[in-house]
Amino acid sequence: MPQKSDTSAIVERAKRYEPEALAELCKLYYRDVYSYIYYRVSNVQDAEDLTDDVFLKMVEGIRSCRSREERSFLAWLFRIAKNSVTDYYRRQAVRNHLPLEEKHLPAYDGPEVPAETKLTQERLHRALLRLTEEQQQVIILRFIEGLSNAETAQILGKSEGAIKALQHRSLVFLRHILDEGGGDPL
Amino acid sequence: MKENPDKVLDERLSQVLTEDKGVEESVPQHPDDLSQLEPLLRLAIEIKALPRPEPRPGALRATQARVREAAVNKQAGWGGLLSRWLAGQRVSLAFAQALAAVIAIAVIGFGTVAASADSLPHSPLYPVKRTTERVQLFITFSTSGKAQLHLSFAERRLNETMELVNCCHSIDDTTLVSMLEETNLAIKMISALPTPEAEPLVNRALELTAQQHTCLSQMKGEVSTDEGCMLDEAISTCGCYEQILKGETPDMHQPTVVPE
Repeated sequence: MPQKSDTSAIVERAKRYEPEALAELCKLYYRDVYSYIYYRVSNVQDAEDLTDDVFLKMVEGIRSCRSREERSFLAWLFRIAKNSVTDYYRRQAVRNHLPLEEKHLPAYDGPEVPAETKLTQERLHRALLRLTEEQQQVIILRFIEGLSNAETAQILGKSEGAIKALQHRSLVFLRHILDEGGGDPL
Repeated sequence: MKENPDKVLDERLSQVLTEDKGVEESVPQHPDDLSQLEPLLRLAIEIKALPRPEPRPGALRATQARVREAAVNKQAGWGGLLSRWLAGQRVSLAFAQALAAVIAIAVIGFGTVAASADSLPHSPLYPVKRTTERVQLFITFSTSGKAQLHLSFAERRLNETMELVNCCHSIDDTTLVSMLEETNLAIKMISALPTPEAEPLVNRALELTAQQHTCLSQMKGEVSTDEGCMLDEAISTCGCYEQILKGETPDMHQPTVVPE
């Protein structure tokens, strides 16, 4: 069973367009990419379609990918995912003008999660969608995906100092939205 | 001089989130910042605790199938070959016009082929999809390449069967038989390969038969009793294939194919 620590060897094989190597990369990183996209678009079907799109773009660009180690390869995939989500919102903006907070959020199911926790998580997710695109990205990458400042900076094309400032502003704004009841359902 | 607040928050976040220190442990070092930092640190902990969504079963498999297909197309690389050849040529205007006409016809043809990729049985474009597959097999010379293609085609037939069940609650017996035939052909090709070359393909084929087993079992609740019996036979055939791939003697001497 391939592990993320084998990424370097798998990427080498993937560069020769070996179908199995590319499928292994999908298997290893599907959940990370899906999770990032899901929190950005809040729709299961769209998240799946966009994740699919990211991995097809991975095949297209694998030969130009200089990232071989697990973390830098993940950062490369997140860069593709970020661009795909930006394109998605551009297309959405053309098709309809629904503000993000009016989107339907999926239920936080699971019998093992207490109802109060589910409600808090829903409020938080709703509030997250009211942040600006950059603020959402930094919050999702840093706290949900657990990336470092350096990795987040690489994905967003900013300096580490700028990421620290953006992270601070985003948390302050998110706290403000929640305190004002901005995460409550409409 | 007062420390940069972004840096102070970042340091405290790293203590709380990566070193698993409590908020109380972290903040008292800077009591002046207590009122400002504490709610932000607690918020970051709440965000970190948000559940990571689970993709639906089948989503990863569908993406893997498309990625494998894209890889096979990349390996073929006819387009790249043509553009490299053209780059080294000095072509006359008449030749260029003729070439443009040929390319236009080819583009229309490729467009139809591309449009047929997602077609389902009974769709007008489905025969184009199946013909494209035959052509792919015809231009693939290596046994391992052919085995990979048969596995991809078997996976496609499974996905098509699933989509038909999802939308029409019905099984297309020809597609189901074709899925088993493609699996059978892949196994025959794999058995002709030397062990190092066969091993990854055996693993992929085992993964496929396991998927077939799971998906066909799930479909049973969605279709009529008669079609359910057909699925039972197909599941049993997949079981035989799995045993062959594991080097065991199958329960039946010959893998059965679903009766028409």
